[in-house]
Amino acid sequence: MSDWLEFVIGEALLALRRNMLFTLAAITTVAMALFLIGGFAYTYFQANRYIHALPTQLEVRVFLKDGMPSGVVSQLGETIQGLSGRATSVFVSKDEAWDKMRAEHPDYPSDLENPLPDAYTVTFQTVETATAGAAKLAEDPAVDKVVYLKELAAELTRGLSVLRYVGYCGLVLLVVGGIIIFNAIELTVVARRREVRIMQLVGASMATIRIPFVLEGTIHGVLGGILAAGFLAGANAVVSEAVRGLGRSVPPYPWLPVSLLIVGAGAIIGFLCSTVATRTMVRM
Amino acid sequence: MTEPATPYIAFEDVHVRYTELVHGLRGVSLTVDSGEFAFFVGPTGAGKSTLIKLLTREVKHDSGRVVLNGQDLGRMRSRDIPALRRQMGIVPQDFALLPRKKVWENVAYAMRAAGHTRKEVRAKVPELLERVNLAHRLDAYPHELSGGEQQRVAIARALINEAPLLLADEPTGNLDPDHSWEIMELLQTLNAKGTTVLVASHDMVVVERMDRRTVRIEEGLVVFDSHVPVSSSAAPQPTVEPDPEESEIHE
Repeated sequence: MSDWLEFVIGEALLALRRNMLFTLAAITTVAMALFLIGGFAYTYFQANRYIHALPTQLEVRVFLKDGMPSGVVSQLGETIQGLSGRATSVFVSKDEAWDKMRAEHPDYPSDLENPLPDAYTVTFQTVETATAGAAKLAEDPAVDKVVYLKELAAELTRGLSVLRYVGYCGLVLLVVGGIIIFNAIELTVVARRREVRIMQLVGASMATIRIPFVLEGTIHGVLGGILAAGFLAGANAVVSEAVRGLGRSVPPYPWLPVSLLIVGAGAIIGFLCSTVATRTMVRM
Repeated sequence: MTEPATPYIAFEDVHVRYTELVHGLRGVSLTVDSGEFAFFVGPTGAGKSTLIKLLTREVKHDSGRVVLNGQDLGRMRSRDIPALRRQMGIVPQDFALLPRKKVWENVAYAMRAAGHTRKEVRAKVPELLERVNLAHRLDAYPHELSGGEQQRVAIARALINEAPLLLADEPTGNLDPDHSWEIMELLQTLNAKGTTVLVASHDMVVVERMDRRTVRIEEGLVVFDSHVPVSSSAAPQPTVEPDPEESEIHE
């Protein structure tokens, strides 16, 4: 068994060396495709999560000035109740907000002072009433800031659709990468037709003849995947640094699962394309 | 001569049709006993190579039966073909040597591909090259060998499985008369040790000099077989149209 493995692996490595130009073409195309798709998928996933955490287009967050007496807070509550098109309103005290934040971030130092203000979260029935309500509340003397993220949410939604196009480009590149692997294997079979014929003449099993070619294609895919995973980790590091420079926090990059996923995808593409090519080209 | 109950090889009314207009064989019936040495002769396109390829299952017949050592090759599944080919040695006309490998590497490569271990390869390659009188050229590359020597390497490669049957398709097609005779003597030696040898050839000088069983094929029919009385084999056999049901087995 080890003799057989040594033979088929040796044949695959020999083909990789002899077919260097196509090997490089296949690996880089698969790497670019997986980088675009992987980058798209990861960014899309993170952006989507961020958007869902934002207030909706019909939600307005009203932050009160610090130290407002309870009478003023109640009066603002009554004003909100009377707003046209209001659907719901919830008061979140600064202590409640702080407790919630501390529960989400247990790493915060225990002596950290609560920086959050009291706030109302108000939802409206239409975008128009939300826009009017947000403008009216912003004029209230007890209100420090009104957060109404209609534009931001819309921008992010547009951003996601752009990302989707990047993903489509990645898919197209993936198909191109697959075709290049297919062609590379076909060319290898043609280049090694003499070896294939000899193997057939002496009664080599179909597995012995085909597996080196399938291995070669799978190696193309795996190397492309490793390259793509490296590019993605590098790109994430650059973007994260830039975002941190703007004073924003960035979630940690799960490099291991992402890399495994990308390399696995590369291996599957390489395996499938080379299997199809070998089945087409090598027959008894 | 007494016919054995079951011949080693039997072609029974075999038809091979490559296309509607091109027929490989048109109803060939013929048997070969174990240990025989036979030539298939005839002009180019007569069907000599088709007979050899039916035995290696590179070609499948449309109708009739091809039996090798009791196995009906028409019923054989594709996945069993490698095992079939390990029961025979095949010598192609063009030698099919790997130009970037030395003589011993060419034989070793074939052995490894056929599933032999490194240890077996180390032990057997020198012995095989000795058998074809090439022990002194084992480090030479194919382009450094004469045509006859290259063909001897191909024969050494055909012996790796110690098969009881050797099939040679025009083994002297690319050789001058001296080298052709050299190859024939080698095949004769192998036959003397019990190997059944079938050779497709149009080199009538060599065939006549060998004085072995000769089966003449023309236009897909056996027109002469020196193994049987001339009166019953000289006349062309009637063309039998393939049975449509049997034709379905053709791949």
